[in-house]
Amino acid sequence: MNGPVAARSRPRRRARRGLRLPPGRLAPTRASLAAAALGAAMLSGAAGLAPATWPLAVAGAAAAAVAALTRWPAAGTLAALAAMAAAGAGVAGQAVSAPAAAAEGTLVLAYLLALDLAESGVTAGAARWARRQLPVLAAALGAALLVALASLPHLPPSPWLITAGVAAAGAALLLAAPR
Amino acid sequence: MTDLPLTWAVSSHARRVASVALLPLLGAVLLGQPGLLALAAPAAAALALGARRPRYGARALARVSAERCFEGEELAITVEAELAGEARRPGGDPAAGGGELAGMAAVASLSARLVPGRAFEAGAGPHVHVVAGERVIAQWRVRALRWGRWQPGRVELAARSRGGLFTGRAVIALPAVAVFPRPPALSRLVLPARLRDRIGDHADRRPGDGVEFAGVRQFAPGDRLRRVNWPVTTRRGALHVNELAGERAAEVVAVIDAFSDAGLPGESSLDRAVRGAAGLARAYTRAGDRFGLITLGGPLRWVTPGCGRWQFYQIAESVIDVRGWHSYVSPDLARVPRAALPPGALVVMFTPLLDDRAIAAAADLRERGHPVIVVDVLAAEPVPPPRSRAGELALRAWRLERRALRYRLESLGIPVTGWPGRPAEAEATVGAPEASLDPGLAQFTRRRVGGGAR
Repeated sequence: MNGPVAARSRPRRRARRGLRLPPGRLAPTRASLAAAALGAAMLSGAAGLAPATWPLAVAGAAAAAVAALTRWPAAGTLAALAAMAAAGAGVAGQAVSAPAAAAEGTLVLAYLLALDLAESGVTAGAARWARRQLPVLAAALGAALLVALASLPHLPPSPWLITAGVAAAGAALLLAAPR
Repeated sequence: MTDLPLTWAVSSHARRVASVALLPLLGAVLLGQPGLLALAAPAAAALALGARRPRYGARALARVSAERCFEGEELAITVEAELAGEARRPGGDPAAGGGELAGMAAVASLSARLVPGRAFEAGAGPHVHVVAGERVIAQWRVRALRWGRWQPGRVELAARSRGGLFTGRAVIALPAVAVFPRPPALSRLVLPARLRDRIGDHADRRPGDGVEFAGVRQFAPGDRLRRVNWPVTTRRGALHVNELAGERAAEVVAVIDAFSDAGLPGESSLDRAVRGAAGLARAYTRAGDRFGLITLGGPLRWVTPGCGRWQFYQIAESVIDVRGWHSYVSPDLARVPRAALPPGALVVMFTPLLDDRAIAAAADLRERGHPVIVVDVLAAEPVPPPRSRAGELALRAWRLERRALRYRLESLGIPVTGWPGRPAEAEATVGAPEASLDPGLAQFTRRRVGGGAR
C-alpha cells in the first residue's frame, strides 16, 4: 500500500517546483542600465579604434543588451571579450596607439565593475560604491599607461618575455579556476 | 549576535576579469605585440589590487517569531547580520556597533536569502533594510504546512569582498518550531453510555443534582421540600418529589495507529489521524470532559485523561514527534495504567486498518469492555499498474479483504466509520470535508455508545 500511494506524490512535487520562476528577470535596474551605458561606450570606443571590426562590436552590443536584461553572467563576459578582441585587432594592425588601448582597457574594466554591481542586486549605496571604485580605476589606468609607455620602444623577440607572458597567463588561470 | 565564519571563494566577477585580462595577454605572447599588454593591464591591475583573500567573518542573529504554531499559521523570521573582524577600521568599536566598515563594496553586497524548510511555504518578503550601510536586517514570512517538529528553513548569508573578487558564504540554522496539527471542528460529541462520577455537563441516567428532569418518586427522608411535585402529591395522596439527572463528564481516549502511514505527504493517513485526534481533544476539553491519548507504534505512549485547554496543548505537544517512531513490537495494552485508560472510557481509534497489530489492539480494547469506535483514515486506494489485469484483480481482492475486516470488527461490536472520505466500500460518509469531524462521527451522536463485557 505504501509504495503506490507514495509514488503518486512525485509528479505533483515536480510540477510545483517547475512553476516557480526567479523574480526580477527582464526588469532592468538603474545599475544594469548604467552598466549597459558603459558597455555601449566601451563597444563604440573599440569600434572607433578599429572600424573594420564592426561585426564584433555589434555582437558585443547584443551581448551587453542581454546582460542588462537577464543578468546572465556569460553575456557580460562575451560583451567585454568582444570589445577586447576588437581593440586588440586594432592594436595588432598598428591602427591603435598604446595610450588609446590603455584607455579602452580601463573602459572595459569599468564596464565589468558596473556589471558586477548590477548582478549583485544591491540598490542602496550604489553612488558610494561607485566613488569607492574610482581609486581602483585610476590605479588601473595608471598601470595601463605605464605598460603602454614601456611598450613604445621596439623590443626584439625574447624567450624571457614569452616565458613571463606564459607565467602570467598561468597565474591568471590559477586565480580564475574554482576552488 | 553570534559569530559566523564566512567561507570565501573566488567570485564569478574575478573569473570574468581574469578572462578579459587573459585574452590580450595571450595575444601579446602569441603575436609578439607588446601593445596588447596595455589592453590587459587595467584588468590585471584590478586583480592584483583585490587579490588578497579576506579573512573576516560575520555576526548574525536569527529570530523566529514563535516556538510553536498550528498548521496554516504564519511565522516571521528576522535576521540581522553584519560583517565582523578585519573589515572594521581600527578606530571603531565593534562591540558597540560604532565602527565603520572599511570596504563599502563588501558592505553593500552583504545579503541574506531564506531557503524554506520542507514543511513550510515561503510567504511575503523578504523585507530588507540596510542600516547605515553596515547592517542588513531582513524579514520573511513562512507558512507552516504540516504538523511536526521542523526547522522553518535556513538563511544563507552572502558577502562580497572589497572589489568583489571574493564571495563569502555562511548558513544560519534556524531553531526548530513545533507545528501543532490543525484541529478539525466537531459540533456534536459522541458520548459513552456510562459516565463516571465526575462533575460535568452531560446528563447521566443516574439521578443527581443536575437541572434535567429525570422522573418522579416517593418522598424519602432527606429530600428537599423545594423538589416536592405538588400536582402528583395531590393526585396520589402521598408526598412525591421530582428526580433530576446527574450531570457528569465523559471520559474519552483517542488511540492513534502510527504503525503505518500511507498517502501523500501532508494528507497521509497518519496526518489525518493526528489531526482527527487533535479535533477530538479540542472539542472534548472545551466541553469540560476528560480526554486522553494513546499512541500505538514505536514505544507505547499515553497521556492520562484530563480536561481544560492545558490538556489540549499537552496532547498536541505529545503527538508531533510521532512520525519518527518505529517499532516491530506489538503493543501490550496491559501496560497502560488504569488512570490512562479508565474503565468504561469511550475509545476512538484513528487507524488506516493496514497493520494487524492495531486491529488486534482494537479488539483487545473491546474485550476489556470499552466502547470502541474505529475511524478509518485511509483515503486512497492502491493504484494498480495501467492495463494490468493482475493489478485490477489484486485491487479487487484488497477491497474484499477490507470489507471482510470491517465485517469482522463490526461483529466484535466495533463500528467502523470513515474520515474524511469514505472507508472502502462505505456508504454513509462519502465526500465529507476534512474541515469537520461531524460527517464521520454524526451517526454515533444520536445515541450513546455502549460498552460492557462481551
